[in-house]
Amino acid sequence: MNFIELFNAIAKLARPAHSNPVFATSMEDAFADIGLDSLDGLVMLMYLCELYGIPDDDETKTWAPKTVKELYDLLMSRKTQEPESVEKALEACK
Amino acid sequence: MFLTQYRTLSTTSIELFDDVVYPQKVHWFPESYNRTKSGLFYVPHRLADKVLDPVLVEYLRNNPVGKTAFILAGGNAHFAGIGPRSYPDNRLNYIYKFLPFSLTQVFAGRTAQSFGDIDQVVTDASACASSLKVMMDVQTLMKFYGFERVIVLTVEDGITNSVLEFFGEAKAVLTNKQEEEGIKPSAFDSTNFGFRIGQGAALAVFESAKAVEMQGIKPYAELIGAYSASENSTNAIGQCENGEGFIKAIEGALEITQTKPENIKIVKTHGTGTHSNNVSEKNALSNTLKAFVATSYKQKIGHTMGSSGLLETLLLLEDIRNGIVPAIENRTETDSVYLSQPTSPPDGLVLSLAAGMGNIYSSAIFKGL
Repeated sequence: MNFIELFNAIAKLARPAHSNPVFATSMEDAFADIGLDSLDGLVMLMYLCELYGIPDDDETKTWAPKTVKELYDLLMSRKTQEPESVEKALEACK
Repeated sequence: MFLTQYRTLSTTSIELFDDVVYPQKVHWFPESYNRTKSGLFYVPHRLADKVLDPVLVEYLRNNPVGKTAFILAGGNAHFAGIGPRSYPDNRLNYIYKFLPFSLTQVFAGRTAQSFGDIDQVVTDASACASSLKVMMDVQTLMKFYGFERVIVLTVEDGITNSVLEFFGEAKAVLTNKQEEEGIKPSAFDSTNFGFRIGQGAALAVFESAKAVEMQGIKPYAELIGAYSASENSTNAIGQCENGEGFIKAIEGALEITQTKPENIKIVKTHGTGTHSNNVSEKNALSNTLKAFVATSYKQKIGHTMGSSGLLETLLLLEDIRNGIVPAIENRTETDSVYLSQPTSPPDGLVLSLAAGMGNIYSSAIFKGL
């Protein structure tokens, strides 16, 4: 599964309803540059931790990724499961 | 000040909750609690989503009319369904991981962004009077601060363990035991009384005459004016039975709008059907108005807490457009004022009333168009 595709789908979900969509095009993209604010980042992290089976603990509370790659690396370091597809991931978050 | 757009959410369907501290029937949307134990979903947001019609939101975003405000009338403020006690592990127990969004102000600011450029974000936590109390804010913003559009979202989830227990303990809701004994929800009645709690929400857009003209749209109603008041009481969850709070709210609205009492022909009461509300609201109305008909919606859709004042007003304005003022359900006496039967809408203005814990009383006067 393409992580950027998943990232963009979760970003759409995390952003305020009916706001303009934001899109990452590369793993190096910084959240701030593609219109994601700190609250968006927090919500995305919560959704993605759920999808990757990462418990909400003291370590994840310190996570503060600023780019798509930083987020991906953090998720990979603790993942216990992986979403099968973007569609299934979105289904799990609705 | 014209009501130009609105969406409502309420349900007449009922379900018995027998695994709460005070078993009772409620009006609710069971799907609002789907998967809430995951911590990813917050019930008030799900209810709000049901009235945040994407087509309407996009229309408002793409059609700015000038200074715009967004008001979230959140009733008792949002809280994550967690009370001071340990509740049984029933379907209403849930956690919410996105703590900032459970704060009314953060949710309001974030929701406001959907409507484009917003010049002011307001939140209100005036308990069950909240959504009618903010009509005074709409009036202030539009009459004195040059706002052309005020968007009001009201949502509150009353179906939580803590709310159901609180109102059960206060002997305000109708318990299942009482229903089994034959009591039905009603108001201003000598036999039936009380209410069930319900989930509800509403979105309403108020616009100036200039904004209406600019868009070439036909408003549903005119908000003539509104007023909120308090009363001298040491009991913040009670009501003075002489109707002092309601009287001050009604007289305040009549005065600020220069409306004669005889011009009010239809009243949407707060109408909870509790003894103290029956007495205080009836006393207030008989002391302030002349000839009118009065109705209540809480028997039909439950008490939707902070949403109730505006939500019920929107339902009444819709019913009036359809040529009816509905009866107060489950009346056991024939009554042509506190309606036991539906009637045709008399020609005149509509007064809407609401009351909330904290000795808050609100009124608003509307003219159906």
